[in-house]
Amino acid sequence: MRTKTKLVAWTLGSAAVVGAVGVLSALLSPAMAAGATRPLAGTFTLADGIFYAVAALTVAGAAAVAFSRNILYSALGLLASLLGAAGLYVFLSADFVAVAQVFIYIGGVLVLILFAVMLTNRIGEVNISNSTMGWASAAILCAAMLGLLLVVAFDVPWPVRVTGGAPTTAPLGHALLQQWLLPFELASLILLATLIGAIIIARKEIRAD
Amino acid sequence: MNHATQHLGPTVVHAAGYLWLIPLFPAVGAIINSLLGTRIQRNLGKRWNHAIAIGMMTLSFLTALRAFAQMVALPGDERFLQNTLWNMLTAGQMQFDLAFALDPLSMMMVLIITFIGTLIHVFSVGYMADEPSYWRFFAYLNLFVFAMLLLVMGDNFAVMFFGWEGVGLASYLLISFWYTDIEKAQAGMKAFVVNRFGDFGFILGLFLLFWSLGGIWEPRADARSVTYVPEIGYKADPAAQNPFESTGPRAVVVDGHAVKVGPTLNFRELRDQVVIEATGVGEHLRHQKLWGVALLTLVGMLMFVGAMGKSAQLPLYVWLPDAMAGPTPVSALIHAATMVTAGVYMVARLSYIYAMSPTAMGWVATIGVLTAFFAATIGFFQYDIKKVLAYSTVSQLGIMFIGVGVGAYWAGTYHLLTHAFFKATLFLGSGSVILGCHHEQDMRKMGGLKKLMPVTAWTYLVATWAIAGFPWASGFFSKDEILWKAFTQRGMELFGVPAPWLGPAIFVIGILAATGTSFYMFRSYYMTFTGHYRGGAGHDEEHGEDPHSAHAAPHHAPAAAHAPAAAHGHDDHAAHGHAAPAAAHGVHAAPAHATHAAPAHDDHGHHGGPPHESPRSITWVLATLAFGAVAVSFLGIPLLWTGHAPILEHWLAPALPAEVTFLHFGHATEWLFQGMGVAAATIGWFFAMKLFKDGQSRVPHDLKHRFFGFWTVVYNKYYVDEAYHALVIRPSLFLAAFLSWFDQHVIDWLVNFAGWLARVFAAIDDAIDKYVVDGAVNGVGGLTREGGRVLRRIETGRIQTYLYGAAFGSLLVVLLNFLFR
Amino acid sequence: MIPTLSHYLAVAAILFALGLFTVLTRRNAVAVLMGVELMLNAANVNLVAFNKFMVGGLAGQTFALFVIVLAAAEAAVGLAIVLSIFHTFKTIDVRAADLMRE
Repeated sequence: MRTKTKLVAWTLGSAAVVGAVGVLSALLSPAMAAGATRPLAGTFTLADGIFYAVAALTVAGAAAVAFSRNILYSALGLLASLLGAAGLYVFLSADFVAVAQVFIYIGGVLVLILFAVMLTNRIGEVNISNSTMGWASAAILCAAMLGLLLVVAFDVPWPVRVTGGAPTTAPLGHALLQQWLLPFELASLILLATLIGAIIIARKEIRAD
Repeated sequence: MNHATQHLGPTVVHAAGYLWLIPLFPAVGAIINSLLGTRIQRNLGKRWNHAIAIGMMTLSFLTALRAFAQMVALPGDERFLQNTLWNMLTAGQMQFDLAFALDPLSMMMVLIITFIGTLIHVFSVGYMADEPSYWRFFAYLNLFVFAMLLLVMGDNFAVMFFGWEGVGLASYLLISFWYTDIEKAQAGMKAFVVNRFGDFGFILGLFLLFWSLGGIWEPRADARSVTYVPEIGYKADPAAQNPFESTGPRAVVVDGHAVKVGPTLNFRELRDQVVIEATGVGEHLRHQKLWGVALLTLVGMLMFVGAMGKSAQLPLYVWLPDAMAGPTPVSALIHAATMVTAGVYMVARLSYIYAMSPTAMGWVATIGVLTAFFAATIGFFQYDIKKVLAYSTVSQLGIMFIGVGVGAYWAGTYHLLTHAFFKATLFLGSGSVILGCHHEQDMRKMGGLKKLMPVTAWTYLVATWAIAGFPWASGFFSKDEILWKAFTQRGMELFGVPAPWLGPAIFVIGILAATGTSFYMFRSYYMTFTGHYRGGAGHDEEHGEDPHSAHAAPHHAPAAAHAPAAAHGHDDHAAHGHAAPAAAHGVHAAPAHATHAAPAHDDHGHHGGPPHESPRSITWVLATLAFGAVAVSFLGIPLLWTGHAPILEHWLAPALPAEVTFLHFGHATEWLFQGMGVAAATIGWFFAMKLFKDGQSRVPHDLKHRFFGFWTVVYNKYYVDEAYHALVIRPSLFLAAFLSWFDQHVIDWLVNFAGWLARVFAAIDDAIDKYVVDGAVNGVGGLTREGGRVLRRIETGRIQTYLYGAAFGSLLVVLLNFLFR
Repeated sequence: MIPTLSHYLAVAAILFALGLFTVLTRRNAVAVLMGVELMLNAANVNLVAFNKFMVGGLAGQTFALFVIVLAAAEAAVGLAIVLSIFHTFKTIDVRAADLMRE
């Protein structure tokens, strides 16, 4: 019966998220039509709002990966984080990278991970399958690393030179097939090798079963 | 001699879009033979394996000839062909392309490599005919040639270094070609490890040079500074008064030519900015110091450490004699003609760097002459024909380094060329002898082969003339030029102390080494080819192992003393051997012969019987190389004889822009010194003939017994290997054992202690908990447990542990960087 | 107050730290792989952000694409290895796979 309760909770939660998104978009659509750069309050524009929302999604997803006790929730958190990263790419006017992120990461890698989760855990054990170790030391190290990176991010006087936001798909295609042709072909070779290698590694053991 | 002119301009580049083909062909051959070789050998026969390899080598040689033709047609100072394929990496000011370049120096090297390489491939057809994994040998050989071509043709240090490591790999693969023999596999490993030491020095020097080219300095007043814009080229930078403050690539305009300055990996850019005085780079480099030592001196010495490893100089020469475990064609190609000369090539290539530092020059020349003398003395008493040649190679490499050390860059390079020919002839001759004597390498079991193997004997003799330094054989011209230049060089320094006596001292030791060279080379000739055949019948030694390792030597000594005495009864032995071919060898060779093309090879399918002349593919190669060993002497006939600068010096001049001053002496002095060279060769030859001709004289035997202690020391190569074993290998093994012990006892104890501590803390925690119910105490207890857990995890071998190390280490590095800003 | 480079770098820093934390603390090999993906994503965000704000052109985006491709390859092989470990040890606890220790 626990699962039933959970199902209901999930449905309600999803509905709430969809509803919130709908209401928000309805509220914001006139502002969007007026131009995202117009300040909403003070110097805070709509673009800023969306950026912070996307960034929050990314970070929250990552936090779910890191802290969730249930590996399935970790996987869902990863989904959110990857989606958020794709949103960041859109913000950085890297449209093709964003689409590739969605296709490859969410369509490919994440599904793979979910499969691996399903294949390696009996669902009944899901809750204890994601136990942790060395929590404190890892937290110290990661906090130090985070602090360092944040200091670097905010204190270094980056010589910023904003570049244009034209669509990148066509230029990327040209670049990949001209300037980066060799790495491109090598990448395809690596993917082929990966494909074969993954099949061989995984198949042998299954057959042995 | 005519020195490089005072005002050098930037290199004029001529594009040659086909240069990449030269290394490509051997690479293709290596790929085909390594991927499909076993099938080709099984289905089509061995002849296709070697046809592919030799065909690729020939194509490569022809392409090199084409480049040579193009280069000859250019005016003398414009001989620079360049071919950029694509950009590999750009990071800040460092940029390197996959690019090839040929200047007269590398052109000479390419011609040597492809020509002698092709001949040695042909030789290998006969030599390796019995080899089951024939394809593997040719794949490795082609791989070696590919890497060697990259080494000499690279337009920048990156490509050169790739080749530098590639030849090391190929050398390793070929030395331990018969890897089932543990000694040979170990010889390969030894070569690889010793070379690593050298390469470490080389790459340190490289980084140091790159680093030293940065910084801020003022170009000379008549030069104008500009910045470099990739799309446009060079343009004046109006914004910055001193463009050296900008981060991008920079350039200086000298006489209307833009010269790129700053850190670079490109040889041409390096040469241009250093050689052209107006850029101020030369001054800048000369005045930099690191820990009080002139930076150029450090660069030169460190890079020479790389050369020590690759070119087998003291004290890193130990791998080369062991490398004789490889098949003889490999010894000829890699360990005599090409790879081991890479160090000489590198020093000559960077002549302008070395010429700026007298200490670096003195260092190179001193190490060179010590090696030359030291190796020559070891060569006196070796009985293994290949070991004699190996020590002779070490010695000759030392002579080359004298040349490039004292600043006679062209002479050192010329000795490289002549040595490539005569040493390849000698090695292949020894290979032919070894093949003829059924994989016997001990000279005490040879003798009298002149009648049985006339072509081999004559070519060996010609090459011996050349190496001993008799006039009109090539070694004379190169060696005497080097020693003469050493005598007239008075500007060298030893570790910063001016040492005008160093040049003459080098000359004296060098002439002694030359005498020794002549002696032991004629000794090997007389022991091998004159007198009676002392060998028995078929042997059961596989592929001629070194019969006397250092430890076994005293046991062999009585047998050696016995050999000349027993020379009379040898006819019986020969007949016996003829009648009873060793059956085991016949069996393993039989399938190979079923598919083999040349019927001339059939006669060494069985191992046994009297020595015989080698098949025609071998004798032709020997004859060609011996002819070459004489013919290249025309390239270096000295000024003294003809009134013109030697052809090769004239040819190499644009590639060796270093300015080195020598003292001037009269013609009479120079004639006198040439006479001394001939006298040295004659003395060595005379004694060798007296002592070893026909194997009749008992003097060597008596002398050996008189000075048996001394003989033992030299025969065992001064116990250098043992010293290495005691000083390097033993301590490292001991260190490993100690660490293992430390791990087992101390770390485990620490871990146990930590666990115990955790338990104690937990107990205390528990106790305190009873009285002070406080969350903070819980935290302390948890932290201790965590600490114990972390300590215990040090030796888990789990990825997370390593990640801790990596993350913590990177944090530490960055934080230290902040601290010491 | 359009988000500046530093904002992106901050997001990437948080992503990286969380990924590192995941890798350091999880016993489940699949979760470890997830952490690796997070760290790769952090690097990717940095690449694209630097490309946009400092360098221009397409090099950063191209490299981000290559990183994505390699991440996919890494995930495929990594998960195959995880499956293989699971079939061998009947667990995917990373501490179990230490046969090479001795």
